[in-house]
Amino acid sequence: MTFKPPRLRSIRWSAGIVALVSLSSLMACNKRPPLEHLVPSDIETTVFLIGDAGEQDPRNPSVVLDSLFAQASVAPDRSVIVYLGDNVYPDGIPEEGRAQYADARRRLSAEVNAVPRGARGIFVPGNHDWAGETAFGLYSIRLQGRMITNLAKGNNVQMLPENGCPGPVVVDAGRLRLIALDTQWWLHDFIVRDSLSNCINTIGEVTGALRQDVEQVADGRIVVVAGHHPLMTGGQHGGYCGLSGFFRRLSSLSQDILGGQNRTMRDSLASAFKKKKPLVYASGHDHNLQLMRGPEAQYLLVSGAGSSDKTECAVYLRESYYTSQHRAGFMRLDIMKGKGALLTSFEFLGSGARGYPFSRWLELR
Amino acid sequence: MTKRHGLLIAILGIASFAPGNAKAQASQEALEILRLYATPIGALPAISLPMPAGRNHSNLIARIQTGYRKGPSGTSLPATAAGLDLQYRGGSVFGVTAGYQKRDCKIVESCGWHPMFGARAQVNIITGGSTLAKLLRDNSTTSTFGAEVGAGYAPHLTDSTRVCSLDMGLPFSIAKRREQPRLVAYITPGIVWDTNCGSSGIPPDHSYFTGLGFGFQQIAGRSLDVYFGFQKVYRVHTGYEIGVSVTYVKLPK
Repeated sequence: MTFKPPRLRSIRWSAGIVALVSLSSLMACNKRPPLEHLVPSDIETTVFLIGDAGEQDPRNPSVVLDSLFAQASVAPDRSVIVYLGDNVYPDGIPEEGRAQYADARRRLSAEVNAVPRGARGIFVPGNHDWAGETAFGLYSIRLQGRMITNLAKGNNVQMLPENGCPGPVVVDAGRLRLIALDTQWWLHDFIVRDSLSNCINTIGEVTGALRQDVEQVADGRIVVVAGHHPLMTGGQHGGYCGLSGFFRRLSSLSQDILGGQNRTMRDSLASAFKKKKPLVYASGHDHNLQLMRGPEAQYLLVSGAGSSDKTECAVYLRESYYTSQHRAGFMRLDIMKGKGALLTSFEFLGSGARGYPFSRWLELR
Repeated sequence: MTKRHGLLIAILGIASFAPGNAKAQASQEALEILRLYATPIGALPAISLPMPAGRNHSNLIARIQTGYRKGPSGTSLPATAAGLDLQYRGGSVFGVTAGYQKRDCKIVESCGWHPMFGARAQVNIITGGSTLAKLLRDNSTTSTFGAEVGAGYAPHLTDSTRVCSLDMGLPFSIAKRREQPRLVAYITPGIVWDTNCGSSGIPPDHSYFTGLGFGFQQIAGRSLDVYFGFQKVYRVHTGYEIGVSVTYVKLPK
C-alpha cells in the first residue's frame, strides 16, 4: 500500500502559517507604557515640549497651558518647560506704545505663568517672534527676551538663545543635555546682527559649535536639540495638506522644508549630527503633533499644537510613529534615573477631553 | 458535372470557407484582447499611490508584482514582474517594470512566455486627510489624490506582433489606522490606448479601466507593503484581473 503525502494540504498549512507570522510581525507594535505606571521617584527630569502656543483665546483659559501647569506643578524642581517658538502671534512683540503691545504681552504672560515656581522655563524663538519675518525681527526678539525676564519675576524663565543669536546654548540637567537653537536666524531675510550682538557670525561656526556640543557628551546622557523649524514634517510646511500643500511645494518658501534656505539650515544641522545623533530633535512650526524616525536625529518630534485655535492637518509619513492632527496638545519626555526616556503625547479634543494616548520609550529602560 | 453536383460543391465550398472566416474573425478579436493584456497595465494588478514620506530625501522602492487573469480562450495568463521606482522627495514616483506573461497557446502560434516592459509616473497632487478624517471620524486618516501616466511595451506577443500601450489614470487612496500596519484602500479610474506598435495587424484601440484594491502599509521607518489589486478593462469579452504587489522602500539610515 502506498501513502501519498497530502502535499496540497501541507502547502496550504505552510502558507497559512507564513501568512500568520507575517501578519503578526506586521501588527507588532510598541507596547505602550502608561505614564501612570512610572514610579515618580525614578524620574530624574521631565521635559515638557510645547510649540506655537502664542495664540490663546483672550476670553477662556487655555486647556493646554492649564494641563501643562498642572503636570509641571507635581514636581517643579525636576521639570523643564520648553516653548518651541512662535510664542507670540502674529508678529512677536511690537514697539512699546503700539496698539498690539498689550495683547502681545497678554499672550506671553499666559505662557510664562504656565511655568510653576521652581520649574525651569525656556523660550526658543520662532519665525513669528522675529516680527513675522520682517525687518523689525531682531529688535522684536530682544524685546521678547526682556519681557520674558520681567514677567518671570525672578523665576528661572528665559529666552534661549537670546539677543537674536543662533545658539547653540547648552542646558545641562542630570542626564539631560538640552541644546537650544534659534533656527529663524538661518532663514531671516533681514538684519540678524548689529553692534549689540555678541554671537557666532557664520553658519559654519554655528554648525561647528553644535557638533561639538552634541559629540562631547558622555555615554548614558540624553541629548535633546530644540529649535522652532522641523527637520521633517507631514504638515503644511512639508508640502502636505490640501491643495495649498501642492502650491507650497512649487513655491519653495524658506519656511517650508522644500525651500532653498530651509535646506541650507537643515543641511547645517544634519552635518553637525552626522557623527553622533542626538536622541531627539524637537520642533514646532507645524500646528500638530508628530513623532518620526529621523535620519538626522534618532527621533524627530513636532510639537506645535500649543494653541487650540491654530491646530492644523498632518499626514502619516513612512517615518511616522505617531501623528495627531487638528488637536491641541504637547509632549513630555520623562528621563529616568540610570536609563530610560519615555515620551508621552497629550492631545486634547475640542471638549477638553484627552485624545489618543500615545507613549513610547525613546530610550529603553 | 450536373447542376446538382455544382450546387453541392458550391454549398460545401461556402460551408468550408465560412468557418475559416469566422475563425479568423474570432482570432482577430482575441488577439486584440490579448494585446490589451500584454503590457503591465493589463497584466499586473493596480497598485496604490505610494505612502508619503519625509521631503528631505528621495527613496528607492523595489517592487514585485504578480497578476492573474484568463485569456480570451479561457486559458490562464499569469504574469510576474519586478520594478524599481524612485520616490522623489517623499511624494511622486517614477518607475520602470520588467516581467513576463504566459502566452495564450490556443490563440497564438507558440506557447511559453512573452516579455513585457513598462514605465510609470505617479504624481501626488493633494495629500491631506482633514476632511475625510472628520467624515470617517478617524483622526489618523490620510488621503492622496494624484495623476498617473504609464507606457507599456511587449515585443513578442506573437512572433510577428509587438504591442505598445499608453495609459492615464487618476488614482485616489485612503489610509487609516494609527498602529502597524496602516490599512489602505485605493481606486484608479483611467483610460488605456493599445496599438501594434508599428507592426502590421489590428488597428489601435482604447478603453476605460478601473483598478482598485487594498493593502497594508508599514510605518515607523519600516517599509514593506503588501497590496491586493483588482482591475477591469471595459472592453467586450474582457474579464477581471487580480494580483498581489509587494513593495519595499529603502529609507535613509
